[in-house]
Amino acid sequence: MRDADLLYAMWLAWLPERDRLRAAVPAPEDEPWR
Amino acid sequence: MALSIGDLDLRGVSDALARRELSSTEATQTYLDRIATHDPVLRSYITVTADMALAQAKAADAELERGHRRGPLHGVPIALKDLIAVAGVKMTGGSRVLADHVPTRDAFVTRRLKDAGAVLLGKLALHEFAFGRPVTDGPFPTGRNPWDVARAPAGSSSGSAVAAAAGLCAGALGSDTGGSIRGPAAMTALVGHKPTYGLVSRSGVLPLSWSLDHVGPMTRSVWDSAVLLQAIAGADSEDTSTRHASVQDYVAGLEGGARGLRLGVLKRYYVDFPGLDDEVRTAALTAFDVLRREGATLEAVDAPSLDLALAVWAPLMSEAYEYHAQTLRATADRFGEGLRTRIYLTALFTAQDVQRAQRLRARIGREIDALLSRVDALVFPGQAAPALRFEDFPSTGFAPASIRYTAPWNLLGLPAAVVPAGFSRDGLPVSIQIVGRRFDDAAVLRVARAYERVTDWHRRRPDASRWRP
Repeated sequence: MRDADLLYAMWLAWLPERDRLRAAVPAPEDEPWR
Repeated sequence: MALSIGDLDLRGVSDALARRELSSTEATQTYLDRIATHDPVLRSYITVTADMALAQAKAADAELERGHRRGPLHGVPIALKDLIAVAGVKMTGGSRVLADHVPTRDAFVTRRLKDAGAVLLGKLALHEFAFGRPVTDGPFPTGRNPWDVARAPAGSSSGSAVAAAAGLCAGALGSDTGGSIRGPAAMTALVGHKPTYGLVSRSGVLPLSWSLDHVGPMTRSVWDSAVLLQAIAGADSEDTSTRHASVQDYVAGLEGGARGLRLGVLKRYYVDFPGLDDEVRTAALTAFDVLRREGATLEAVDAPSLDLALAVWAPLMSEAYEYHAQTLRATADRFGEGLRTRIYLTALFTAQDVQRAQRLRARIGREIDALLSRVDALVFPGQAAPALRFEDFPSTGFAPASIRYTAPWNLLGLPAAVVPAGFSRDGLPVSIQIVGRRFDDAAVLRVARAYERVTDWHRRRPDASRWRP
């Protein structure tokens, strides 16, 4: 596979996790620097 | 007494040296002979440092002659993943990018092992820069599983697992950013211990992702791992993560047993995971019963935010892009295809994703800390499935699905160890994993030993007659 094809396949595999990450609403206490 | 060194664990070698049944030179030469015989098939070593090892062994023997034994590692031949620096010895990171790189200084852990009297047999294969894929050809093959050479030992500390499991060294060090010690250890019937973040220095170790990287032992028994950890743990001014390193005696409490311990089983996230292999699940449940019979109290526990762990882990791997970006721009073709594209992907995470991941990492940590205030340790299966055939490794994923069993504990920096817990019908190793409180690595090792001492999985050895191309 070409790099671009591999990268695109990995990107597609990442998208459900990204959606999960972005859907998780942080609370005020979710701040490691506090 | 005729010793079969290839069948001994590190303790067996150490005890034989202490009793003078064996010299370090004899032990070292035997391992070098075994490497010459078996490694053309197993491919666990990138560099064998025969002359240096024999010189170290001779010096260790001379000290013993004078009545000076530095400790349990005195004269014991071990080996290091080839991303840990040894002065004057090529360090490739398993990559053409560093094919001719020779460090001038020892890594902190290398110095510690030399000070403890250990003999360094060589540098062990790995997935490229600890983030590539398993390969069987090219300049840097990643090693074959000694339990079935048609299968990979997983990675990235693949050579460390192969060499330790096949008796091509008495023990090894690996590194672990998402499971690279525990995954390969689980696939080869080894104990693999990822220490608490900040307990073992990474100075002189090629980084993958600074906030997730750990260095630790891979051995045939819990005692072996405890002794190696004892040698390498402690503060190092050149790795600020170790500023608050709190070192315990990792051997003294090993035989404390399971009686009275409270163990939490992460049932929903791990045991009930639909992707968990049935044989691994059965072995783990049987192992939990063993711990119960040994006097531990087990209860199902849960941390709902573990569901976010992989979504949190991945953006943090953008630290790898920061490390490799300049080289990648200059000489992209020198990276293997699998690694190159993975690093490209880490460049595509947004700043918001990374910061969101950091916030949710804190949330997962709070939930797990709350659990560890009620129980002494967490237990769960050590892997999703037994070792895969090389051709079955997915080529397009950012990380294998099995990483859910290991990566959350890199995020949190908690001590985590796998210990052999049986074999599949195909004769492939399976394991359980134990996670403890920060800087309480001794408790993790105690639980692992409580299980190990009433089982015999760790005494089984792969069949060398099957190590054929």
